[in-house]
Amino acid sequence: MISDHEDIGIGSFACAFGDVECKPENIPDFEALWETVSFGTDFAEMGCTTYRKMSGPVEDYVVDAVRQTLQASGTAAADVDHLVFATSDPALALLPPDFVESVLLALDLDGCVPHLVSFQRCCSSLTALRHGERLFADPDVTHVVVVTADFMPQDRDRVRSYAIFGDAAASCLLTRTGPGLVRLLSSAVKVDPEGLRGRDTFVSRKDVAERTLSAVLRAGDRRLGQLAKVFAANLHKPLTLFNATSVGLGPDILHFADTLAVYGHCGNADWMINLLDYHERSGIRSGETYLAQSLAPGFYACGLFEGSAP
Amino acid sequence: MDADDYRHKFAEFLSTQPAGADLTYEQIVGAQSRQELGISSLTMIVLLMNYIKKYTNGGVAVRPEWVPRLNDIDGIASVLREIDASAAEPARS
Repeated sequence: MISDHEDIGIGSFACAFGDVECKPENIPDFEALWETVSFGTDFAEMGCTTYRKMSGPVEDYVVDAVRQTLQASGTAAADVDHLVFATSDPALALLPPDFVESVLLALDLDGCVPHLVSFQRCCSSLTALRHGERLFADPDVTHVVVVTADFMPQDRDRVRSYAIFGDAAASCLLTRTGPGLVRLLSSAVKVDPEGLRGRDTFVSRKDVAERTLSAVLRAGDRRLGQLAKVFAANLHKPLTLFNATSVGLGPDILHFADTLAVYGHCGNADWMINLLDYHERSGIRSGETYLAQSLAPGFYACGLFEGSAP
Repeated sequence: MDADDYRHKFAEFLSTQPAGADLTYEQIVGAQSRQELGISSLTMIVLLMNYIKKYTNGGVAVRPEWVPRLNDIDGIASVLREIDASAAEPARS
């Protein structure tokens, strides 16, 4: 749970969103789909006005995100030791069999070892980040790229009781040769057994959120009141606000509403999208404490960071 | 207002909301759980936010201790009672 490699800088965050901008209301049978999952709730209150759809193969967007990350950091492809890819379970089942080869070859990552983290739905990317950091236990490792992508081929599948799904890839670079933007203090992922059974409740969701949050705060030796900003998952706005409030995180500390409005819920990419968006708007500050948060039916994950930019 | 009064206040409020459009006043007052009324988690959260907006002008924040009480109607009524009580408290400087 706790970071063993506090000298590892994490930075050069990059996003590659689906290239087609769409409106949820234009999804065929949207009104009927929304009524089925929302039971009379006004969609206008959900906070999502558009989402992005990938018109090409997902590997193109993964390559785009990683290429941006390498360019931003000035890292040569030959210097990347590991590529850790994370995706949700449904997207994993849709990847082509030559997915990883095509990504490695397109980026000239000739000496790079690929890894896959999944089975934790939208919480997989925070586990991937921790896995990526642990690869630095090998003293020869200098650069690790963590990249995530989630996408939905069928538009009607985007409409859920908890979110409107959009398509995106996002990546970042872990290195021991620079401070990066943040460093990982601790991370944790916990299971809500009721959620796995499709029977999650206010109580079970609050319970798993509290267990996860307290675990990362304890491991990172931080208090709730020290959090400067929380990079939340882009679920429907009332849900995100309520979920956060239920564990003592006030609405002012969350950063998600603007990206939710434009991109919807991009699965595993949300926390990276929100971290990058916040940095571009306000700037991650050295020494401040930040929380990345992700959740899915049955899972809850947190990553606790400290700003490290010089 | 006692607990029963708040059950009726919830019924009156719900009947003004889209989620309550297909429910009768008697159904709401007589229900034990929100599941009986077909109120999902998302709908319950929106109802709570709308109640706070309507009766406190958004001046009350959701409290973590309210969350487990939002599954049954008595619990919901007790939360509404606390929201009203919070709104009536003098502002703290």
